[in-house]
Parts: sequence; C-alpha cells; structure tokens
Amino acid sequence: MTKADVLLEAKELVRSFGGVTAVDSVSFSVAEGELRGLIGPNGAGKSTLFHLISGHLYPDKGNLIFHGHRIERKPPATRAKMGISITFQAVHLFNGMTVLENAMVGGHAWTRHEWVEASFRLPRHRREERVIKERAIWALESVGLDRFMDLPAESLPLGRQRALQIARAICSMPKLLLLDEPAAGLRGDERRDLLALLERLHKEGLTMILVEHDVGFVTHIAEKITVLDRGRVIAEGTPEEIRHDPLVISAYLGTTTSDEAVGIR
Amino acid sequence: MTERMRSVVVGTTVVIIGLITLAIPLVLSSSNLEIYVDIGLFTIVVSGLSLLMGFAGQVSLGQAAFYGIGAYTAAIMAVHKWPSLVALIAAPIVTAAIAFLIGIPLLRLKGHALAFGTLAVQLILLAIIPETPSFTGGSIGLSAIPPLRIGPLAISSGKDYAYLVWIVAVAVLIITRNLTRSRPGRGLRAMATTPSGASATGVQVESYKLRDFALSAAYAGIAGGIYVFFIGYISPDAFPVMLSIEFVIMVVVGGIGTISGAFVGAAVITIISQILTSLGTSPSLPPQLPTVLSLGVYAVILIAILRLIPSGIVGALSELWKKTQRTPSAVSSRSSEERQEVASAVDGAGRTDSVLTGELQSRDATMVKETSTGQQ
Repeated sequence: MTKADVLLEAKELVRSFGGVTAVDSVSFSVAEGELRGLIGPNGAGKSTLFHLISGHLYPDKGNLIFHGHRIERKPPATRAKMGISITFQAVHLFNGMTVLENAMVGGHAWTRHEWVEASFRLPRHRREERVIKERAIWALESVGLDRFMDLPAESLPLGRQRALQIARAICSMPKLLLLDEPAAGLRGDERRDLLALLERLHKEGLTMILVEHDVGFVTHIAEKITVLDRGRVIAEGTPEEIRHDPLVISAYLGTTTSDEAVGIR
Repeated sequence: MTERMRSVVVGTTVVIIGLITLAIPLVLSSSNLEIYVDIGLFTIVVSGLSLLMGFAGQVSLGQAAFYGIGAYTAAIMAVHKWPSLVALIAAPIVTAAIAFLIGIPLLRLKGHALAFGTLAVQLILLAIIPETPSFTGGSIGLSAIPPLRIGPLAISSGKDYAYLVWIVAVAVLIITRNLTRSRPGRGLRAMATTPSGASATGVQVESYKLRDFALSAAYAGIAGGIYVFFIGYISPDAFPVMLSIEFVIMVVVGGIGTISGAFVGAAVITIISQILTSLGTSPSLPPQLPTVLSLGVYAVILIAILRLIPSGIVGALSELWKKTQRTPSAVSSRSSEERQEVASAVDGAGRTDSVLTGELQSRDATMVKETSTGQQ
C-alpha cells in the first residue's frame, strides 16, 4: 500500500471517559476502495472509535488523517462536507420528513446555496435543488426505496429505515462511508438485501468501514478486519486470519464463543 | 403530474385566500380594522417564532422584546428625520443583528435555561427603556412619529396599514415556505429531530440555530416597525412579558412548525383576547378583569391544546385530512408500536460503550419535558 492509496489514517488515537480509556492508542489505515471490518466484543471501544472518525467525539490525543488533511478536531458537519458519511446504529432518520426529503438531506454535504437564496428561490437554489433531487432519487433507487419516496420516513420498517440511512449517506456522495452495526436487529431477508447492497457499493469502489458486533456478517464481505478489545487493536488481517487468531478467540470467549458469533442470529 | 395538479390546487387556494384578505379591509369598521392589522402583525411574529420552536427546537419567551426592538428602531430613526421607509427596513435588520449577537451566548443554553434567557432579554430591555429617556423617550415613550411614506404613497389610514401588513405577512409566509422546502429548510427540520444525525450530514447545527434565531427576530422586528407607524407613538407598555407569552400560545394553538398555523394561531388568540377585553370592560366590572380573564382563558386553551391536539389546530386538521386520504400502504404489516419495540430492543443491546449520552432535544410539543433521544 503506497501513501497515495491511503484514504483514512488513524495515528495513536486516545480517548478516555473519566477513568476509562475507551480508545487506547489505536492506529490503523484504510485504503481507497477498501471495505474494512471493525469488530470487537461489547465495550471494546468500537462506537467510540466510530464517533472519533465521524467527529461526534474528539480524541484526547492522536491524529486522524483523511485525504492528507488532519481532521481530528474538525466538527462533524465539516467532515461530512469533506466526504465522510455515516449511518448510525440507532437509526437517526428525520421524522416528519418524507423518505425523499430524508435522502435529500444527504445533498447538504456538497451543495452551497444558503438561506437568502432559498428564501427568494434564486437561480442557484433552483439549480442545486434539481440536482439534489435527482441524486436522492438515484440513491433511493439503488437501495430499492424509490417506491416509498412520498411516505413519512418513520412509517418504514426497521430494515428499510436502515436502507434509507444508507441512501441518505450515498446521496451525500461520500468518499468514505462509515456504517455502525447496520445489520443489528434485521431479519434474515433484510440482512441478505443489506449484504448485497454493501457488496455492490464495494464493487463500485466506495471505501467503507463496517463496525459490527456480529463477526459473521463482517467476515462475509470485509477484505480486512481490525479487531478491538478493551480499547486496543489486538489483531488485523483477512477474515480467515482473524478467525484463527488466538487473541481474537480469547477476547470473544468472555462474551460469546466465536462459533456463536459466526452463526446467523 | 400529481405534483403539478397539487401545486395548481394550492396556487388557486392561495389566490382565493389572498383576494379575500384584500377584500376584508373594505368592509371592516375602524376598530375591527385595528384587530385585523393586529392579526397580520402577529402572524408575522408568530411565523418567526414557529420557525424557531418548530425547527430549531428553541422556545423564546422574549419574542415581544424583538417586536419592541423593531418598533423602537423604526420610531427612533423616524423621529430623527430618517426617511420612514428606511426606518421601516432598518427595523428587521437591526433586530436580527441584535438577536444574532445575543444569540451567540444565549443559544449555548439548553431547554428551559434558553427560554428563561430570552425572558431575561425582555426584562432587561424593559428595564433599560425607562432609564434612557433622551434616546427612547423613557417610560413616557416617543410620540409624533412621522407617518410612513413609501415613495409618493402616504400610508395613513387603517385600510392602508391593513394592506401593508398583509402584503408583508404574505411575503413572510412565502419566504418561510420557500425556506422550509429547501436545502437550509431540510437542514433545519433534520436538526429539530436529531441534531447529531443532521450534523453528520453536513448541517452546521450551531450556526443554523443562530441564523434561525436571528430570522425569527427579524420577523418580529418588521412587525414592530409597521406597528409603530400604525399607532404613531411608542412606549414600553406596548411590549409586556404577557405579549411574549401570547406569541408562544399562538404558535402552539396554530401548530408548531406549520406555516398556516402562524395565521390561525394569531387570528384565534387575537380575536379571543378582543372578546375578553370587551367583556371585561363592561361598566361596573373591576378594571383588572380583562387581564385576569385572559390569563385564565389562555391557561385553559394552552392546556386543552396540549392535551387534546398537541400538533395544534392546523396540525390536527392536516392529520384528519391525511386520514381521509389514506391509501393502502405497501410498506409493512408491522404496526408502529412493534417497530418501536424492535428498534428500542436493538438500541438497548450491543451498545455498552455508548457515547453522546447527554444529547437532549426539547422539541417536545409540551415544551416542558426534555426527552433524551438517540442512543440510550
């Protein structure tokens, strides 16, 4: 991996809450186009690391480099504009807005028109609104939600709400997509749809980091997996290597056995 | 195609309502004309406050202060021989600028604290005015405010003001509507439901809150400017704390975050308050009766709306309309309760290293209860 290929690089990230060090000098780098799995047992620091990358938390120490820029102190909105898009585990949809409007919020990241232009429907507003709408419809089509465009977002079942979160993320035309436990709580068919969608996005060249509690889901699609335990990276490698890593197995033994974790819930 | 048809229907409705609005001043008596102007002014203020409460999730208990700042700006400038139109245009700009500056520290407060902060702004304003007689006219106020002239037109009669205020009110409603259906509007609405979700999508939450606060103040400011030219004099008595509370009640009654709700709320409460005043001022009744009556009646209305139709009159009507229009949905057979259960079960599990715990939002229609959202 040459330097130019690296999209995101974490260097010695540290973040503590009170006396607990949730993320303890974590370093890793993700290449352009890679689908990286980030796994670990409960309390391993996955979510903290996720929020350090999204910008909802800042690290106490360490650097985060995205596309050659240091971003560890940049607020979430700035990171979104730079091309980092996320989907939350607890679905953060915008209730009271339609499915289409939810996806269109994704367009915020790469459009510019502001309040005055919108208030008076000036040319840039009209131009950008048209492009945002096209892009949002395209994103909804790609996750199979275009039929539900005019429904209120909160009326969708959980699996589709997650798909909508992904559509919103795609609509923001990200360079890096962070997914926090996208498979949690999904039914079998919903999981298969999600898996197919992620595989397709991966083929199209989108860089993704998939944070998962469920090892089985990640080993299906990730090329490379980083394993966290108690805030530290304990292993990194291909799914095959990870599955046989003694440290990983013992980390998971405390909570669930690796066999259990691999099985579909 | 359906969208086009809908916009034709909406357009026709708007034109009809517009014509009715323009015809009304011709048939009203002068005292009723005054009420009509008041409704227009309050519609302007309330659309701003509704934008703030519904979209930024902030309650302002000091909106009458911004109404007052707008009025004083226009009055002081007009008295100092500025052209009256310039004074009127300056009113919202100065008000917005002041709100912007006040908002920088104020919007760091959350929930009740913010509401009390805005209330404090009004109390401070009401304390400053009597102490600065040379500038603001003090407690006595400023009179002999020159009449408003727009180019060659002298705006003098009640009818003229009725037209002026309604033209501005309609412009404000259109701007509000344009805004809410655009990129910034979607950002605001997104922010009102989940601030962290909105920021992750590129919405600059803090800056949006501040701009929303300044915009709502600008609406109050222009209304205040028109008011002062209409009345012809100004004193701090015209901007009591009670007026701020009335504005909040108007927002809730009409429907928080709905555009037409601003008009409905302003009209309903203004008319009720007029009826109460005329009841209370009948001979042989104590002079404080109107105030006591209106306090009681507002309390009853507020509680009734929050208990029975928390989405306000317009919100309730549109829900009713949607129910009659409901088409069989192809979404899911699962009920929303079931989905809620599934969702919360999922959220509860698998996230022990949860962060962002203090994320609160105060969008709750009761405005009293803050609910913790997002990650439990």
